Amino acid sequence: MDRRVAIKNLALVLGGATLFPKDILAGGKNLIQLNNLSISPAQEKLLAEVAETIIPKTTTPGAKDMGLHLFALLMLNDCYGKQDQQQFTEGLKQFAAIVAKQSAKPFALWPQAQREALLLSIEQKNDLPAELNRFYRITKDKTVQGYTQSKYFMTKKVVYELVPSRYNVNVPVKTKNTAVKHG
Amino acid sequence: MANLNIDSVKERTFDAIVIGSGISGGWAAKELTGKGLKTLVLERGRDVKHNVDYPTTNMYPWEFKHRNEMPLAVREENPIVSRCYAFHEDAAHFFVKDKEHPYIQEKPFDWIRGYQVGGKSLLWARQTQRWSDFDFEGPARDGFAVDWPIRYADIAPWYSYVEKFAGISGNKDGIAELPDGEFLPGFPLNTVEKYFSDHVKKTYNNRHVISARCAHLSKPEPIHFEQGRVQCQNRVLCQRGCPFGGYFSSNASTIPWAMKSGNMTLRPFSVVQSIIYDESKGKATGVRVIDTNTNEVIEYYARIIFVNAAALNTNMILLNSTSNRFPNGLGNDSGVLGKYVAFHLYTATVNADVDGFTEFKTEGRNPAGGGYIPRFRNVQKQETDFLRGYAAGLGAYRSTHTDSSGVGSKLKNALGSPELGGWKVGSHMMGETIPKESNYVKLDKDQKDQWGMPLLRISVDYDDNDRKMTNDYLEQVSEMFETAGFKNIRKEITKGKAPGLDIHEMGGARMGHDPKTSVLNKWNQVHTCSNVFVTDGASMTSTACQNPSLTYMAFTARSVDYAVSEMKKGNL
Repeated sequence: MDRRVAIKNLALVLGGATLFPKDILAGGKNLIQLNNLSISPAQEKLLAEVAETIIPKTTTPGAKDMGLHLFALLMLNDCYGKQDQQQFTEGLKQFAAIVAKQSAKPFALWPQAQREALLLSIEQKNDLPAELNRFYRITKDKTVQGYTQSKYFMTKKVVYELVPSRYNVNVPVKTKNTAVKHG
Repeated sequence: MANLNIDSVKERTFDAIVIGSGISGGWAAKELTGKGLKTLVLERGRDVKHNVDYPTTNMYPWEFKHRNEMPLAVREENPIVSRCYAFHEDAAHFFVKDKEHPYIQEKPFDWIRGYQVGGKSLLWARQTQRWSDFDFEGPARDGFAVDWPIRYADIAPWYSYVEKFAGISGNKDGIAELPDGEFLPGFPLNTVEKYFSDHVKKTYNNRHVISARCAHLSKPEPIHFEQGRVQCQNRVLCQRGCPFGGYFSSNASTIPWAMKSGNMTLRPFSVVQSIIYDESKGKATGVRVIDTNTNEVIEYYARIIFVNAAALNTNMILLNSTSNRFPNGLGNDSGVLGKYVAFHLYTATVNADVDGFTEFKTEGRNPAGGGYIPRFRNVQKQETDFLRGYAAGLGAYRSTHTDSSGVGSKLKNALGSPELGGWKVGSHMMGETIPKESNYVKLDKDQKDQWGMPLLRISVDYDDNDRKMTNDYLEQVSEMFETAGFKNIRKEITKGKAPGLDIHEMGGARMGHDPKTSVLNKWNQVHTCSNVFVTDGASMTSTACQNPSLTYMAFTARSVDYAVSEMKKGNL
C-alpha cells in the first residue's frame, strides 16, 4: 500500500483526530497528538508493530494499514481514566524492556511467529506485572474493536446493515456462521 | 421590555399559546391549529427540523470518533445525563448537559431532559400501552392519592383518535387490564419469546406475554403518508431522529402538521418565566417569555394556554406564576402543586440462558424490542403486601460467539467468522409508584438560573412499597423463567439507580374532583383558572405501570376538544 493510500485510510479510521501528513513523511514525530498521556514517536511505532502482530496484514488489510494503534491511543486518551493511562504507559515501557532483553533486533524486524509468541506469553500468563497486563489488555481490546468496527470489516467481513428493513423470526439455521451482523 | 404600542400587542396576541413542543405540546399544537386557532408554540430550546437537524441519522458505526462511546471528560462533567441509557455520541446533542441547567437534589434524582423542538419525543422508547379502569380506579380502590376524575370510557375514544394518527403497532390481545387499540400490525415474537408466551398462558391463568405495542409504522396508512412518514425500516437507531418518520415524534408528525395548517407560530429559544394572571378578569391573559438569545423579556397573549413543558418544568412554571390571587403559584389554592410527584420503578432485571431452539434464529431488528408482560399483581383485588403492581419487558435473542483469544491470522479469521451461540432471555421491571405528599418539587428561594428562574428543588425517593414490589418482581419473573426451563437465572436489583432515570416523572399538578386536593379538573383544566390547561405528565393523579406518553397524547387531544368547544360557547 502506498503512503497516500495509507494516510487516507488513517484519516478514515481517526475521523476528527489531529493528523500531520508532513510529519508522517518525515517519520520522526507522533502521528497522533494526545493530551492525557505522553507517548514518544518510538513508542508509537512499537505500538503499531504490536497492533500489526494482533491483526496482521494477510490477503486483507492489517492493523498498520488501518491505523488501529492510533485508534487504540485515541480511545485510551479520550475514554479511559488516569489510572489506566498510567498503567498503559508504564506497561508499554515494560514491554519495550522485554523486547530489548529478548533480542537486539527491533521488534518490527522479528519474524511474525516470534512476535506472536511474545504476545501470547503475555496473554496467557497471570504472574506478570499489573501494568504489563493492563497495557496488553487495552492494546488488544482496542485493536480488535478498531478492526471489527472498521469500515472494511463492517462492509466486507461481517456486514453491518444500516437499514435492514425487516424483522424475521423463526428463521431456520442452515449454518452456524452468521453472515450478517445485526446490531 | 418590548415596545408596548397597540400594534406590538396585536402582533403578540394569539388565540392560544402552547408551552412546550414535546410529545404532548406537539399534540396540543396540532389539535389547536387544526381547529383553526392561531397558536403560538413556545419552546425553550433550539429548533430541530425533521431530517434537516438529525446530523447523525445516517452515520455508520465506524464514522463515530469513539465508536459511539462518550469520552470520559464528558461523562465526568455530566454524571447525571451520562447515566441515561441513550446518552452516546449518536444522540448526545439531544440531551441537556448537567451544567447547562442545574437543579437541586434534596435526594438523588436523575432528571433527564431534552430541550429542543420535539423535546424527548425524539428520544423516547416508543412503548405505547393504554391504561384501563384497573389503573384509573386504582387510587380510589386502594386508598392513595385522590380519585381520578375520569374513567377509561372517558379517554378510550381519544386513545383511538391519537393512535390512528400516531401509528401504533400491536396485536388485539383481548386483555382487560391492557385494552386493545387501533393497531397497525404488531411486530412478531421470536421463537423463544413465543415459547415463553405459550408457557405462561398454560401455567398461569392471569398472566400474558404479548408483542410489545409501540409507536412504529409497521404498515403505514394514508394518514401517515400524508404526514410525510413511511414504513419503519427496522433500523432501531430511533434516538438519532428517523429520516423515514418510522416512529412517532413531534418533529416527524404533529409539529410539521401544525405548521402546514398555517395557524402555528413556532418560537424556539423561549423560556417561559410565568403565566400572566389578570385579577380583574379572573383568568390568565398570556405568558412572560425570556428570549434566551437576547435575554429580552417579552409578553405574549392568548385566550387559552396549554402548559406542556414536561412534568417537572410545568410544575416550575406554575409555581413561578404568582400573583395576589395566587401567591403560591397559579391554581395552587390547595397547596398540593408540586407535591405527589411519582415515577416508575425500573429497578430490577432478570436474565437467563435458554437451552434448545437452536434450529432457529432471527433476521433484522425488532423496533418493538420484544415482548411485554402486562401487570398481573393486585389487578382484580389486593393480594400482596404491597400496593399496585408492575409490568415487565421481555426479550430473547440468539447470541453470537467469537473466539477472541490469541493473536495473528488465527484471531483475524476467528473475528471474521462469528458463530451462533445459544438463546438468551431477559426481562426488566416497570413498576407503579404511589404518589405521596413527601415526594415533591419546589422552587429554591435564593438560587436562580441564568434567566432569573428559581432553581427547582427535587425531593423524590423510593419507599417500602417500592422495595417490596421490586422483590416480588424478582421472585415472580425468576419463577416464570424457572418453570419455563430457562437456565442460569440471574436476578439483579439495578445498583445506584436514582428515581428520574426512568424518565417517567409524573404528577405535581394532579387531576381530581376536588379543588381542595387537586390542581386540575377532569378536563385537565386548572380548577381556579379556567383558561389554563395542563396535559403533560404533571397532570397525572397516579402513574399506573404502563408507559405514559400515549395517555398524555390522548388527554391533550381530549382537553383541546373541550377547550375549543367551551370557547365557541363563550365560556372561555
